Amino acid sequence: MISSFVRERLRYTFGFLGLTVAFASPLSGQVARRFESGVVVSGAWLQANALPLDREAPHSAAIDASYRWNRWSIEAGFLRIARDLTTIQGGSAAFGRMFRWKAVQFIPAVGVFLGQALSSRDTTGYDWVSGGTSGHTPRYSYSEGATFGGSAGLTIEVPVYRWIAVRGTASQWVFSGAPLEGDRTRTLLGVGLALQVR
Amino acid sequence: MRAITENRALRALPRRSAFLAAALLVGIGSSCTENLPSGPDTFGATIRISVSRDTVVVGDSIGAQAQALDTQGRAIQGLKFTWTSAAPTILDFATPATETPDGTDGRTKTFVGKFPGRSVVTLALPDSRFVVTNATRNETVVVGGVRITTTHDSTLTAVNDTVRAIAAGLVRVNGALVTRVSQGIKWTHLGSHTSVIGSGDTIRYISRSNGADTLIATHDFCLLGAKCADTAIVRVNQQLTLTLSPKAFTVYSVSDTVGPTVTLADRRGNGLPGASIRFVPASAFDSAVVKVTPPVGVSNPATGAMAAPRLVSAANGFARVVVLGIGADGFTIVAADSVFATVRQVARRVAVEPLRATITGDESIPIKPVARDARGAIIPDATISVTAVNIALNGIVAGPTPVATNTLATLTPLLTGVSLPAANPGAPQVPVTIDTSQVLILPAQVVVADTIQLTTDVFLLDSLAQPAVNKWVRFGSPHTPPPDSVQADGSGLIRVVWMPRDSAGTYTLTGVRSAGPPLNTLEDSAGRVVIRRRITVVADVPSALKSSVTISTNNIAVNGTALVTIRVNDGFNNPVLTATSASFQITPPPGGGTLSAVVCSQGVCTTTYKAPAAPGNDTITVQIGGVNIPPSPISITIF
Repeated sequence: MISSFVRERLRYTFGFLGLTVAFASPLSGQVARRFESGVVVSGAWLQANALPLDREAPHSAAIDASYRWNRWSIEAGFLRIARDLTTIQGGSAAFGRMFRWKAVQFIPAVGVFLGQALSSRDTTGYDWVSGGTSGHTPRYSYSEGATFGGSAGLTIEVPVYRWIAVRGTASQWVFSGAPLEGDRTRTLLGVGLALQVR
Repeated sequence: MRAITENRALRALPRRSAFLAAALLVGIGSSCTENLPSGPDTFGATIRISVSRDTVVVGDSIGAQAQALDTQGRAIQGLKFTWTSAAPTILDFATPATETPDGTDGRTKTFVGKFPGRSVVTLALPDSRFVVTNATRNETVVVGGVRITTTHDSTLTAVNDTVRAIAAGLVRVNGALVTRVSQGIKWTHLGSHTSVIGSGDTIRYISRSNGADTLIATHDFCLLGAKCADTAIVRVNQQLTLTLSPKAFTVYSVSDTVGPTVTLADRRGNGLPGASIRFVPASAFDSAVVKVTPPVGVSNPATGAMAAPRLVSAANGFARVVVLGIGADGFTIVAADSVFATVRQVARRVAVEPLRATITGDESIPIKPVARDARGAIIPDATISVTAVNIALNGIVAGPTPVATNTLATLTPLLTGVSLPAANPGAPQVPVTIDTSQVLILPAQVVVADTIQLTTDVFLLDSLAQPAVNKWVRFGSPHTPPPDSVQADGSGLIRVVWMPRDSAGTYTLTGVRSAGPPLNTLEDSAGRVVIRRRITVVADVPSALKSSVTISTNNIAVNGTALVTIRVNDGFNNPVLTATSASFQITPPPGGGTLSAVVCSQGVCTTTYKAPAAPGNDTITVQIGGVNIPPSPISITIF
């Protein structure tokens, strides 16, 4: 079940990616191939499908460095997934296969994650009724612990200027760990930049 | 050139990227304040018990809800509450037949009244999230009424009767109020005629005295508006029974006192304080047969033994006497019975009274044949015949029997008939003592005036033929001063000195025993006259001083006559009834007159004087013993 809020964010994200692709289509294949090998450093803002973040904390983001060769990509980096009541952050690694269409790189990948999970869970709040109106008063219990995760995702990169590409990413993560009990999946949508550094 | 430039750029990129990545990591790392929400540790809340009423009838149940409100007054859902009753034996909680979430979690609870009383129900919220103060509520478990299951109006007919009174509280069973024991009934006892023992549902009340008490069964915890008190009236009304022992009496003497032992008691042998016993002869005839004395003795209410009157036999006959037990109020008859008395006098002595008498032969006295019972009472219906020796007996009059010398006459009674002991087998067969009357008969006496002083002796005996010491004899003597009363001495002797008048005549002295009624009839005198002496006083010798002579006239014509009367009296002025012409001397008149022969009668002598033929004077002289009888000599003028 995807809420209307998430659907709205997805629509904006994919619209952005569509426009990027549209703008990128005129780019030459030479530029596109630049990102098929070498080392690419990327960063992405991944909060697109989880806005607003209802707390004063850094949004979800990822910083990765990938090594690409022969249409394969392996990357590692730091991943942070922030939600209203949870934060998952730690190191991630992904292995993917690159596909190119015109200047657009499609990189489906699978990844792993090892890090920590921070969670505030409203497990002990209470429901109330007042004058025909019902409601809930939360009571949060904080926990943290190690978590291991796995993901499958798709990254779309569109070179926009020489060694700069914009990228959109969508991935689905599953995490282990006690703090995430009952809330183990995360869907990430985001945009970012990729820099060809070698 | 362009490629060289790009390669330079590419070579420069790693440094920039590394710098950028490091900056991002530092930025991310420095933003480690996650601000994840935490807590609150606790919530403020209040809990309360919502129940429709605070009173539960035993056996009944009411539903209660637990409510928790947060600080905004909103009802918190889904909590689990715990309920405790301070006195589970009074108020407990029902286990629902079917489990519901609300019931399981204590959000609803059913109170069940177990026993009357109060219990504090405490609602707790054992949830660490909430800081709450336990809610308490006082629940009162009551009975739905009080009912006395035993009689509401009882009457105890004996002191110390014990009866149980049982009351129970009404509790609800299957929707209906039914009695149930051991609900803490309290009793209020009003009155003092019973004592109450015990407490709780069942008490015993024990009758103590007549009257009515009230027992009120109440309960401290009773449903408002219900019948919370039930009243039983306990009446103590001793049903008393008269026990008379014996109920029939036969007495053989008048003045015998008899009476039954009277017990006026109830079934348990308890008397009635203040009660009394009255004997009431059933009729006037019964009253004539027996008399009733005042109560004798002391009543003992503890045993019912009663001070009771006694019956005193008064006359022969059969009497029924109603015995009445009178209540303490003095007029209520609480019990009645009868006793019967048969009075049949049986003679112990038979006598002719007076037992001793002195009479002169020319007198008589009324006698009284009398039989007496053991107490000396006269038996009126005794059949007595009298045998007289030396004295004439005419009916009840003994005498007169002229005698020449003192003669002792006897009158001997003979008893026959119903008063003989032999005729009454139940009576003591004591031989009847026969008391013979002895009458001393004196010869008739004639005395001369001035010589009279008679002494008469007689023994006064009582009904037992014993000297009637100190008994009195009263005397009567018509026309003469009677002697004073004489009291018998230690031997019963009555000695009286009687001095009749000096006047000539017949005098009688009658001595009567001072007893009984006045002497109005012959019967009154019968047996009581112990002295009857007659004496005849005759005049003494003529006395010139007391005699007199009179002439009808002192002036007489020639050859005329005049009556000369000579009254011959003795020295006491008694006419000398036996006077004759010889009793005085009349001198022949010297003047020539003559006197006829003297004629005397009853002391008066007369003679007729005849004057001479020529005028002149004459005298009549009458003398006794040479002394002129005044106014002798009598002068006479003849003209």
